[in-house]
Amino acid sequence: MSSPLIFSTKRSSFWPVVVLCLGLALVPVVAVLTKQGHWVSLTTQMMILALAALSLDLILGIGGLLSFGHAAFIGLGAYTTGILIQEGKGDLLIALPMSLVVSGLFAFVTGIVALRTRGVVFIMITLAFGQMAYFAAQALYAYGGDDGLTLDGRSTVFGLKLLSNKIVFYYLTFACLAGCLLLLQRLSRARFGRVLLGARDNAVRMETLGYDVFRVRLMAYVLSGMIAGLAGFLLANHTEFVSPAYAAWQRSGDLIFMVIIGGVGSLWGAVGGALTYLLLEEGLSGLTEHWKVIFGPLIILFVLLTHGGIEGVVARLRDVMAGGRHD
Amino acid sequence: MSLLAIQVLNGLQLGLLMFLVAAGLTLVFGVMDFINLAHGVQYMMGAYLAATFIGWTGHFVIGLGMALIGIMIFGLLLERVMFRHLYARSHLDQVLATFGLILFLNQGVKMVWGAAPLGVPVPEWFQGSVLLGDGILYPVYRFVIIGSGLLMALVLWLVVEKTRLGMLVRAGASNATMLSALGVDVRKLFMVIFAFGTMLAGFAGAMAAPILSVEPGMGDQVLILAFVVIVIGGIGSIRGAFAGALLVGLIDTLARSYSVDFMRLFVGPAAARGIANGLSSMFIYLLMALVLFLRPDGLFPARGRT
Amino acid sequence: MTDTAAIRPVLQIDGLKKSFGALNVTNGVSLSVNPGEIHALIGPNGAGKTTLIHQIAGLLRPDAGHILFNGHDITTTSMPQRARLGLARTFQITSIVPSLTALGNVALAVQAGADKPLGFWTPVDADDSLNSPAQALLETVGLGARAGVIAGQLSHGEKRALEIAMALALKPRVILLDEPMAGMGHEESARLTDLLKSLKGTYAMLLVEHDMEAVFSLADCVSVLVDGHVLATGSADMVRNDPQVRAAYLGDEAF
Repeated sequence: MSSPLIFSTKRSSFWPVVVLCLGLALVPVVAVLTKQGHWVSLTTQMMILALAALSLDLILGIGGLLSFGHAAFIGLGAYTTGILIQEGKGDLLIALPMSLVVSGLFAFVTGIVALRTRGVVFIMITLAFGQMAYFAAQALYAYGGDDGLTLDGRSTVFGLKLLSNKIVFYYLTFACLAGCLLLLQRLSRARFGRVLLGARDNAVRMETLGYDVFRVRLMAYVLSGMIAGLAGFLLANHTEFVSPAYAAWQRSGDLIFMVIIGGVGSLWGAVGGALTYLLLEEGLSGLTEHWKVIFGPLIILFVLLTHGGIEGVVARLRDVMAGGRHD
Repeated sequence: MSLLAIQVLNGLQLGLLMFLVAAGLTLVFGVMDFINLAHGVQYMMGAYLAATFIGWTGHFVIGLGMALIGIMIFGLLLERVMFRHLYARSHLDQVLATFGLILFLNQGVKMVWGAAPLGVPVPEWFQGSVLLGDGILYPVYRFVIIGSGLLMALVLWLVVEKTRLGMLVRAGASNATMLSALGVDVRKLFMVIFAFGTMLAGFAGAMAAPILSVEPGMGDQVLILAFVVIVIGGIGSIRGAFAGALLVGLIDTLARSYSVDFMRLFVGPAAARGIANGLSSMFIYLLMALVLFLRPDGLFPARGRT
Repeated sequence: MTDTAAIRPVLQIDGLKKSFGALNVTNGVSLSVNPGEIHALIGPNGAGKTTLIHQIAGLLRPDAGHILFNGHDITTTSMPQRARLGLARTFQITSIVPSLTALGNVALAVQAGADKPLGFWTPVDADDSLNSPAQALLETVGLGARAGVIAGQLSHGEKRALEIAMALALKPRVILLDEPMAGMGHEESARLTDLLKSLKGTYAMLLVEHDMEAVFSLADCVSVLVDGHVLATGSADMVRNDPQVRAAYLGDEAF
């Protein structure tokens, strides 16, 4: 009952990542030269989403764990940052690690419960835990409750207001994204990644080889949650606003869409997925305020007609051009 | 104590509505291994269709009947056009596709009926309240909901435990591949289960329409709670869905009704309401986490361990 | 079986019981496997052979009885722990990692026993400490030339051989083989039989099989499992000629 997931053991994914990073690094330069300053802001937003999608791709694409509550970690990171900023302790040196800790802790505790289940139950539990985080945010009456909270400003860096400059903030975000991309690429190709992949395909087999599958998955889950928490930190700073909506389950669905469209397990595809999502949202909402009525069927059609997202299409094209066999 | 009695009855009512939604869902998961996020939408459609038809005909029962037929048609249409192609696909594909369906239908409903909540009047014969002991008044209609919920539960129980069809369903819940290997037309069984589950959800939505607000997205939270019910009760198990639903309904209602007062002990009234709302919504998920920690397969799992 | 009082069995099962509801699948099974020997387990379908293997491997927990591995009681030990102690198994329905290559699969098995089974930085593809032993094992089972093929694309017989390579990678004391010949053609079965024969003496094996030719040419000792309990245990000839066994399972065909 599983669709063929394409995991590349070749080093071929290296070059797309390099090109991608170069491209992203140059965006502010191009934007300044062409006087399109808003591109910087838009690309920052895309990179933040890409970071979140990347974190999901670790556990979903490589681990085979379909978490439908991933937005919760973003929300937790965002709120941790937002609250710290409001309390005057929002410096990057405090807020960033704290965001990682809070989201990591939530991932640990919920992971212990959720990872002992599998399949359909796992999906439902992660959805439920995601809702729990959403309601927790709503309960924060002192910090806006359901309406959300406008922040006094962005995080300082060593006490300096460096991040109010959007180009500086852009490069901070870029550094986070590139750093995590590199980290996860190495991880996926290392022993840890292989065990995670093996467990995705055949968890029982892995146990009979001597691997503690639960422990490995929990580690991946916590790491994934922390990276999403980092995205939350960046999001709160970027928008200077936090709201329970950041943790809404629909956002978790959007993330899954991004991961799939970019190609499950490809990691760098998460960026493509985030970009696609934002372009679709921009483009479609220009047509009608009811843009989701078009977006929904697009998703359905995409699922029904394709397998493996963009990376899958690319891989298939590569095969065809090499004149070789499929898969 | 009178407040407690009312809240218990409310909890029962919510629980039975949840049971109607969860029963169909758990069977679909258990027998077909098909994850249908859009099940909540069927609940919503039941409410909207009921509101519309009752509005047209001015008659509750006729409107309800028409709504149920509409729901059946709607469900079978969905099955034919979309779900059928997803049974063999991975859970990931099913989740994403049904997610897209929710987006489409929530927005579609907003376009057709508008974003403002629709009102559905309580049917005439069921208006008014009943006097329980101690001077408590409880609305007749809510008793009707409880009654019809229990009736449906009974019917389901009879079908599943006492009929041949029910036996197939139970067998399918523990091992569908085996059933197919034995020559049972599993496709047809799926369709029957799916149609019935859809109708139950739509019925719940229709019955709930007079007392809850009929608005776009009303099915989403119900869906998530139904998931919690199923997870607690055990996948594929009607008995589990029943136990889980009552548990969830009672605890959620009681948590909500007492949390505001509880918070008032610590903070002012506006803050208490705000905090209590979020906190009590969280409560049920904490319960779920606790149950799962002790029993990862739920309270009454249908599938035996291999 | 000759008197082996001086040799301690590497695997010993005492009075194992397992029921599913009213069904007693394992009804008091006792047997033992000596070091280096192949102990075959035969019996009609439904006798409970796979359930027994599951219990020994740790996938199922018995309701009663004990499993002793090298003298240690492993009745309640976890599956990963049993593997690390030296208990390997193959599955009745082929169980490998289809996304990885054949080499990748065996390397994964080798990795499990390495000093650092979970590295985070060094790429696995270029790791000789994993890939060299893996390649050697693939050669042992005759898959040396197929190392780079995606495991999901191997033929049925090749996948079975791959499973054995993975089991060997664990440097096991005992290998549980659950119907390794299942679904194989005559030539493939013969090759696998030769392979197992070459491993005899180095590894102890509990071999569940229906292929009688293989069983009688390989086994030092045969146990017949019927209705969840052992009907007879002995040398291949002894079992072959046992009237109860013929009545229950083998029939009157001459072997």
